[in-house]
Amino acid sequence: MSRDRESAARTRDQEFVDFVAASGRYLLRTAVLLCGDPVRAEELVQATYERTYRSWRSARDGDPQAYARRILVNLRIDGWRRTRHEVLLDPRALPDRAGPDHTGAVVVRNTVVRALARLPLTQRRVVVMRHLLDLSEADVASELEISVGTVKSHNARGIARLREIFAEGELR
Amino acid sequence: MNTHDDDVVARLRAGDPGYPETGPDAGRTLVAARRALRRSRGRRALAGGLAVAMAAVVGLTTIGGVDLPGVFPAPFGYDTRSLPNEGDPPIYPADRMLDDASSLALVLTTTVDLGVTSYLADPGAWGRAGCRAFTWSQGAYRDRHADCANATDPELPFDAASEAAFARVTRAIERSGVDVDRIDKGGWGPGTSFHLRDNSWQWNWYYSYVPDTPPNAPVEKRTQTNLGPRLEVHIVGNWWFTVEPDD
Repeated sequence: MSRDRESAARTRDQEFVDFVAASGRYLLRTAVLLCGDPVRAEELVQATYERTYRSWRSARDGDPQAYARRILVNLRIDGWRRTRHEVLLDPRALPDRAGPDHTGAVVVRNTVVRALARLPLTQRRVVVMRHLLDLSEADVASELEISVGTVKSHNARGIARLREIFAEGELR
Repeated sequence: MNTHDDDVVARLRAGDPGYPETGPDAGRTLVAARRALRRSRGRRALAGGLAVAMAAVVGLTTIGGVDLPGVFPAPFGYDTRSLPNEGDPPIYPADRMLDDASSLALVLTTTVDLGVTSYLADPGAWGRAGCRAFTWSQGAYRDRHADCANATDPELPFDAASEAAFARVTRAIERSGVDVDRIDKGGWGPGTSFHLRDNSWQWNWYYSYVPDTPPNAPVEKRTQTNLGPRLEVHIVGNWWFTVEPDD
């Protein structure tokens, strides 16, 4: 590798490390809101960073955090992870007893996270992006590659379903 | 937004768990991203080579230069009985697998010595505690906190002897330089399997030591599962490398 290319690779890696340090908490929060499972969220964020790194030149030319978020929200959010399959993560099957006070356990018991996990995926994506990430309808539409009208209808149905979930106390 | 929805949105925002205290480790994320990029480039190079070879074969067949045995399906065709296609399983280069198998032999020695049949070491992250499970000659043990064990799990909490044995296996893995987070004996086919830590939801990779592998074992075994192809590569002696779809 020539000295110039070596230097460019070092620069790219340093930029990427700085970006991970700056965006990690934001993307983790987004992922856990989308998937409801801190372990799965870590996997999704890692996959997001791998794809962002692969296209780092494109990512850094614009807003890298928005670039990564767009990757994240379009990943296969719902999935099953085998390595920790002994642990119950079904929102309705969570143990009643409070565990040690670490964030992962707190998150899976969070009422909002559990309610969101019960929405169909597209409604969940729209509600999270619109109301918890504070994106405009146009931005949500652009990142999910759907029309603004579809964003509105998914949002309306998602909010209606959340109202039912909150009102009926289904998460007790 | 419809003002009628304000109460729901307000409740969402009020109950938002907020940001985690820490994000992912930036250095480790970079290492993983670079590794993923190398894998991706390797796969693309392999796919490119195969495409060139395929084009040559198809071209030669068209002009009658090569006689192919059996039916030659359309390269990009499929039929209604096709299983979901997850793509070609990614594997390491042969020399890497040979190095890893050689290094894992030391870990195998430790597991045999201790009578280990199951080892799981998840380091935890983002405020979530790690999770360890360990079955060896003196019994089955597991971290008993809520992120690792259900109330009905039968394993005992770690005692001093099992802590020491677990640490011994962990040290052997660290010395090997192979990023193994799980070992199973008999749980994943015959022999002892050494599962690689990964961030893929598409694939699982593991090395396995299968005693009495016949000398004429096939170099490669490919089977189709409901989720995609499973590939077993015979590395050397009793050592195999397997990649299969993550369910």
